Amino acid sequence: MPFVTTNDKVRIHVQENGTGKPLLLIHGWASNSTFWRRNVGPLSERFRVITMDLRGHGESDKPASGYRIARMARDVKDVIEALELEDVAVAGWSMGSSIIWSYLELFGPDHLDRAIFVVQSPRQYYTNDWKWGQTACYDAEALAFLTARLDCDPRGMAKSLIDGCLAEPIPEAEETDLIEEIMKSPGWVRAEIMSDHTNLDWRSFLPSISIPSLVIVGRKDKIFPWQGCAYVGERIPGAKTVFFEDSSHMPFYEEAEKFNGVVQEFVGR
Amino acid sequence: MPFITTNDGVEINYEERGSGPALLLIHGWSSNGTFFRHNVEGLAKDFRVIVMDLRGHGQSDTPKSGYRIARMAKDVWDLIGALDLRDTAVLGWAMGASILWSYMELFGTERLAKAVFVNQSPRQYYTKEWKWGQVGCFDAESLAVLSTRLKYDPIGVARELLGEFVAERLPEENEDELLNEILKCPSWVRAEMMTDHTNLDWRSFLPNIVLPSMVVVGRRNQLFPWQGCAYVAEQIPGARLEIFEDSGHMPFFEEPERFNAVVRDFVSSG
Repeated sequence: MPFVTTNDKVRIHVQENGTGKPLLLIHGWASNSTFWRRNVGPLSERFRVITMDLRGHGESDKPASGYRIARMARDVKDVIEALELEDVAVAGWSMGSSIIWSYLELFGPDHLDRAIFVVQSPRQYYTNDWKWGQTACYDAEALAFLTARLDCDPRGMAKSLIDGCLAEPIPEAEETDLIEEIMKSPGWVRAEIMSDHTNLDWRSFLPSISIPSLVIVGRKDKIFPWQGCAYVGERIPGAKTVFFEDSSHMPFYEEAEKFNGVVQEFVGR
Repeated sequence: MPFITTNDGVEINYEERGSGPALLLIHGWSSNGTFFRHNVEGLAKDFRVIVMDLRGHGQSDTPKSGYRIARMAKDVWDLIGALDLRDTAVLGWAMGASILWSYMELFGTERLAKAVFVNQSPRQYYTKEWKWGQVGCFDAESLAVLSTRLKYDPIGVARELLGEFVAERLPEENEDELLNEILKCPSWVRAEMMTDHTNLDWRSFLPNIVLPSMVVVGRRNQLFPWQGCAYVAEQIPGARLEIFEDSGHMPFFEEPERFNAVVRDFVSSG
């Protein structure tokens, strides 16, 4: 299995399929690259598709520290540079979008030429002027519940997450398989990452994004009010927003064909 | 006044004095480079001393976004790169220490030779097993109180902070002037930075630090129990600990002669 070693000596599991323009897919909180199972095949017919498991997830190392969005943005940079990728189209699902925002904040559009942001609200916490936060982790107390439950019941949390990610139920075997993938990320890792991720507010950063951007929104998203995710498309200059009417939080899985088509059109342009 | 421009177009003010090995001083939350007034001259006899103002502070730009510890670590990286500093000794006071931890987490020890961490607990928030957090900002609710007070009473918060910076009263001639320095940082910037800073937990990172390190602790610190700041030295392999018995949060200001001597000794030693 191929790995890239980061500048802080963490081995990141990376897979490549196809040739052509590089398209890097970054998964969300608690999941891993196997969640792109309905996308890598079709997209690699036209592009060089790279998937990675974030630190603490899937087949990547689980170091004792470094579970911060900024550090994972650095991991993305290390992967891009180790594979010598240029003019990369980068897609981030959910927390993967926040990692790309952090990448852009720290490194600018270095090596990137376009970005796809899939179902992430720019702020998770509710305030009196922001009600489009995360439905289950909307303030410090909700995070405390989540953290405690991850400690006591990591598998139950994984099942709840899958339930929230999907508008319609899926066959039990498939669900069990996705839960097993989530379980590769220890409960304490999931808790530490959420603690950093959910505290960030990207609203004031979005207007400074200068690369062509595509924003994907699941109209039936159970994790975020869709308006929060669509707000990203309103704030990034010139961004294109595409709605997936029958999807919750995994449009790339729930409406895979449409997703692959939209991405092909945007990346191949 | 010289500036460098970061990769995201923000002008960072800095000043340089002296020559020799590079020593970069990074101030803490709400303050700026002028807080090192009792140190620059003294240390410049032996070192090339660089003092910067973090984004949003002092004479640096105040952009609309980027008030995160990681972004400020990148600003430090950009400054070190722009001045082409090598083998830099870096010194971070309070939040400045967190910025250095973030720098090391993101960039390793590139371009650094030694580090001095002054008065920062590795975790600000209290938990069941961690009581050495920040006295005034110890959980999400106290952060909400602080953010609200910053909005409606920024001067009151700054005055109170100045009082808590020192073990004894500030010299009268410094009070208004330091207050004005703090007020150069808009209160919304102070709130945004604290929101990111206070949420971070560096405890598990400290054992990874491979740079020769010195930890400076004020025994009479009003903002942290001194044990939280001393814990940093226990966790960094081989770190040297210097306790300042008569200082609060600003040993470099309260006991400058000893502070300068200790830093000189640490940075000069092979």
